[in-house]
Amino acid sequence: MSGPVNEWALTQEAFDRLMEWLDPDAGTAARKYEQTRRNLLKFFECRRCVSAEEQVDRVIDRVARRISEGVEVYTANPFLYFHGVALNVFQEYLRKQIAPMDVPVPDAEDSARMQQRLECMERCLDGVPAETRQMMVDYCTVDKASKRRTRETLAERLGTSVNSLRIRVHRVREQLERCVTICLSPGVETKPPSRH
Amino acid sequence: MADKVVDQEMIERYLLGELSPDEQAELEALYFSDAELLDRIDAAEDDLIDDYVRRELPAAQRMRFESYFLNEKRRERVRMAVALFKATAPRVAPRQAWVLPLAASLFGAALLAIVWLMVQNRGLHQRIETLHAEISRKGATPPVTATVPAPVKQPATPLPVAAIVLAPGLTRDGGDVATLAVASRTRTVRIEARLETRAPRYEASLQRAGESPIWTASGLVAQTVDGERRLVLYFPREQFTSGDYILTVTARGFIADYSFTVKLP
Repeated sequence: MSGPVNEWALTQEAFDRLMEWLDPDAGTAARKYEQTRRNLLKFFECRRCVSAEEQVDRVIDRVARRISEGVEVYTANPFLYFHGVALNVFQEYLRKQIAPMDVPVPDAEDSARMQQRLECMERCLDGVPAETRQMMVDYCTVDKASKRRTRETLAERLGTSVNSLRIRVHRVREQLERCVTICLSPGVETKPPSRH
Repeated sequence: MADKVVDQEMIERYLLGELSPDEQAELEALYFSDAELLDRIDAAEDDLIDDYVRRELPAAQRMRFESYFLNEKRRERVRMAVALFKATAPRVAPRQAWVLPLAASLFGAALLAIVWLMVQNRGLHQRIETLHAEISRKGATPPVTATVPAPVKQPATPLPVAAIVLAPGLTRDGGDVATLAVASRTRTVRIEARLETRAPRYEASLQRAGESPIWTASGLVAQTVDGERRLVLYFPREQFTSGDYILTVTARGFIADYSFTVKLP
């Protein structure tokens, strides 16, 4: 786990107070916390921060510290408070950067690794329910020209809107990507999936 | 911007770094308060990656994609998208190689047939008139064309996921160890570890009892499942053999062991 490079470390007590500040109800606070992390991660990724996760920790630590030190934080919307702190942290990040980092174009994976990834993906796809798998097949096997019409038809068939469909597909993709990452991790023996 | 509808184009421009600093901050403030908008941004990110992989991005967007959008994490997502497209189109991909030449051949053959038909047209008209006259004269019935039903494709049978929910502690319920029965057709194993503490992220490791870890990961985020905080982990079936396993979850000032037994057929 990569912790934030801060002198002040988030303690369990400070974390609990942060959660309480987010919402007195523990369940709601947990959801808001997850949402805040997602927001912050997107914020720093879209601003091309190399160490986005680290910056997320920095923002959360900073807010938690203020709250644990008794600083009165008046805001109608805690999410916007986090956004304000994130803007400050981003400015500090920029000042520490010597030059923007060039990210090279995706390099082609060697064929063995690519094959391994494909086998993992097939295996992970086999693990999702049949209707979800079919949705992914229908969603993925269209070109840009027919994409709109296909998505409308698919959304109609599933009784949802196109936007909800896209979000649903995104969640499945996240799940598949986690599964493939684990499958590809060292120490995991990968074998071609046997087709029944 | 608060009163504006955030459309797809604006989201794409945001992802490609084409908004002004003020527009960027305003859009961020909107999605910080609107989880659904963040979901839409995630979905738009998928679309950009898909279009890039299929080479369907216009040249200017492709350049922005490569020079601005891509980072290490997104490069990995590009590779995942390539694998996903291949995995979801196993029968389409090889067909693409011969579909176009075949279509061209059929088109050429059709053209030749049309020319031949035009040449024959006049003669056929005369022949038809002759046949009509013969049918009328003999009182014969024209033949009936039979139709053959198309074969029905059987949907693929899904392969199950073996799942287990674990409570912390080396044994459960006074000594009973949780058992994960893995069927022969199981491809994926899902392990959900109940968490008794709240932390931003967790580390986890999996080992056979008394052996070195066979898997470790960090930066894991808990999920809320059935109202409980759980760490949800997925493993390929091949990760396991029959025997006792211990999953260890750690966070700041917290450590918990989850023991379980795996039974393979």
